[in-house]
Amino acid sequence: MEKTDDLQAKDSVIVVEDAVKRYDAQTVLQHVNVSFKKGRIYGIIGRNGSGKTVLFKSICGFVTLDSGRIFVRGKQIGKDEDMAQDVGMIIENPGFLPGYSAFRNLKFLAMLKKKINEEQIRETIRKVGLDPDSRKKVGKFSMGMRQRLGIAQAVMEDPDILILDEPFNGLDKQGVDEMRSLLLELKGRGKTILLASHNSEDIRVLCDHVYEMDGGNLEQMS
Amino acid sequence: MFRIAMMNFRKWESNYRVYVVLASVLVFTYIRTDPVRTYAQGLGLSVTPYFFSFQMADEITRLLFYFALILLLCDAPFTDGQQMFVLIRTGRRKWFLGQILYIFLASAVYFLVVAAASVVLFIPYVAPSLQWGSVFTACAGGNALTETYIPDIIVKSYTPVQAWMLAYAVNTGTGMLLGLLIFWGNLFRSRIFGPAMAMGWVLFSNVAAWSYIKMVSFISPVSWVGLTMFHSGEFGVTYGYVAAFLVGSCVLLSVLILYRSRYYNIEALEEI
Repeated sequence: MEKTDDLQAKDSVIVVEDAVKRYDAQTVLQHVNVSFKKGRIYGIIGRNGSGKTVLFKSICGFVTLDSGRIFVRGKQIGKDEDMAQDVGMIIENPGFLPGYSAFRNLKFLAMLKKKINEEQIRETIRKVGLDPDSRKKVGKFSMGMRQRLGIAQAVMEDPDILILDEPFNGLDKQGVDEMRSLLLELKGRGKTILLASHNSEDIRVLCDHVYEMDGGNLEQMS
Repeated sequence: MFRIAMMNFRKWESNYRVYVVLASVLVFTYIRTDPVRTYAQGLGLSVTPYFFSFQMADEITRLLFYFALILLLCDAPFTDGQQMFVLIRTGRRKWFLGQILYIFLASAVYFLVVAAASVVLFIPYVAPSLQWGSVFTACAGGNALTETYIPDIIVKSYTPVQAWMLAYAVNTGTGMLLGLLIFWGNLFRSRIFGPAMAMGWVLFSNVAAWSYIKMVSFISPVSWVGLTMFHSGEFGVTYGYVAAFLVGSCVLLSVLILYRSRYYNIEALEEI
């Protein structure tokens, strides 16, 4: 656990203060205190059901806390803004419109913020190893291809913060290597990345700091 | 908001539930129009494209059409894996407003499809006209047709275009009200709660029709979609009352949904 002064350090882009979340009788976040600084990759490990995904959802603003506060870039989620802004994320299995191509799926999403143009969408699709001109519908994609597309939608608008829950699920070794390189490149450009993974190799290779989630408690490992 | 709403329409082509709803509309419309078609065919007459005005006059038929609409909207607030990507880009408030807009548009589209089905299924006997035509005039209230209820009062009270527009507006408004009720209900419990409330309200229209206490029809919007309630004397509803009830209820439910949305835990759910 970190002290409040540490949490509020100026270079922290995400601050979680005494976060508690309950579902019925079960407490899935137990007074979690943590802060995440700019330009680093944080790994969060833990068993299924330990609370990793709920923590990520709370930071994004999908889930509201029973008590405690979460600040993203100094703005309190649920008070100053209803969802975290300028965050790219994959949480659980990425979902897409199955009847459309990869490019059209990303285009529909990009139209919501209008931050990037078609060429930038194509470039992002190429970056994750997919063909932007392919007409293959996402419904026909393998799990690995869907995962690559999920990463593409998370990074395409060049957000400062990436929240990635098991982003390498279903990827082959080459895919994992490519995505690792991409994340390291993004870190080099000052992005803050939160990464949950069951794969200790991913955590070892990529992360500057590692936390373990166990029964709703978050402990720093390294 | 429009883009958020459109995202839901884009899922229609890959959602089997939408095809089930479409097939149901075609089957229900076929059953309802078949006697009229047979009558027109037998006498060599053409049918004008205004059957939609009578479509909901029959109590059982309107139950079926409204159950199909409930099936279409039963998974409100439509949170799946793809919508999480939408939400993170739009924020909660805009996203919920987008879903409310989608419910309105989906209701409008649904009743356009119902209206279109009632024209298409009369091909090749359908003929454009601004009049009711001999088939509907003969069938309305007379003994020409006993299997399909065509209320005389609609033919006498409205021009065909007036009746069509009124039926479309009341049905769309009622559909939106039920959709918002599903949406609101589903924000509190599982996705069973909202559809169950909406089905209860639809069934209530039959209770209202058979009840000795005629006043109950004043709180049963599905009772109004057949248009005959506008001409039921002291127990009838007025156009102003219906407009105020539907608009007021939709606004109230929208406000309740937006209020609830601030605390709602958004989870990606499996597609129904």
